[in-house]
Amino acid sequence: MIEIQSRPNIKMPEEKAQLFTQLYEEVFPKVAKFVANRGGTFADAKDIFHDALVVLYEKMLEEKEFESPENYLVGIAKHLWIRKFKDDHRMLALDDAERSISIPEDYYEPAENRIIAVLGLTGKKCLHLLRAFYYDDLSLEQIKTIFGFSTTRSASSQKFKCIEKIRNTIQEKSLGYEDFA
Amino acid sequence: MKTSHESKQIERYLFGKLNPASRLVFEARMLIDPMLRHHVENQRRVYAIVRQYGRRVVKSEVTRIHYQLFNDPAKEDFQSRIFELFTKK
Repeated sequence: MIEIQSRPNIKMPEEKAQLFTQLYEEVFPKVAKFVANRGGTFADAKDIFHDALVVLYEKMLEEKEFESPENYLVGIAKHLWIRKFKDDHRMLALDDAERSISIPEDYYEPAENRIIAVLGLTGKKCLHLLRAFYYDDLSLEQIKTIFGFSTTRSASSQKFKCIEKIRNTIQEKSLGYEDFA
Repeated sequence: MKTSHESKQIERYLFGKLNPASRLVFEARMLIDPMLRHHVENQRRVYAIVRQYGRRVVKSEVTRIHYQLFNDPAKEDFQSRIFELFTKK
């Protein structure tokens, strides 16, 4: 078991990287063993474990009290395996805690590759800003500091400008697609 | 209406933060205003895109850790423990 003295603050990049490294060493062998026993490859184990860490990260941002990331991670990995390989879940021994785990509903939405690629070229700053606020759940105060805004108010106003900018990009792109339809 | 006011309002609608009365008014406006409907749909996609992008960034951070652990000579025990699992007996 990993001894976590105080709960790491995963909003801090260093603490996040440290926790992920710790979990990698501690839990990846368990997930890899599970995947290997069911005929999966090293690459399968890696993919599933990486997705499981993403789901764990989101869960940790959501829930203030989080006792055992190790068990949770193994549980998510099993669910991801069932989903990915349409394995029969009745054949898997899931305990009660594992049964209660769920993968976010939107996790398997079609990837917005095209828009993200476009924004990667023309709107990276906005993507970073919106990710910090909506995905990494940073406060406007933190965002003000990280992005160098003078006030939280200007950070907030830039955030909405960015939403509109990306919204307009989507609009332009979808008009483009309709033209070809 | 000033756009940033509109996008704030759309956000409150999408995140379920409008009180029932404002929500009704907003939904009525959407019925008669196709432009607003478009904006709502596209803004919904903005949040989905940001989430997908966030997940990608986390995955790239994790991938970096993966390569560190699998290239660090000091982690040989860890590496062989994993590779043994995937070697056909």
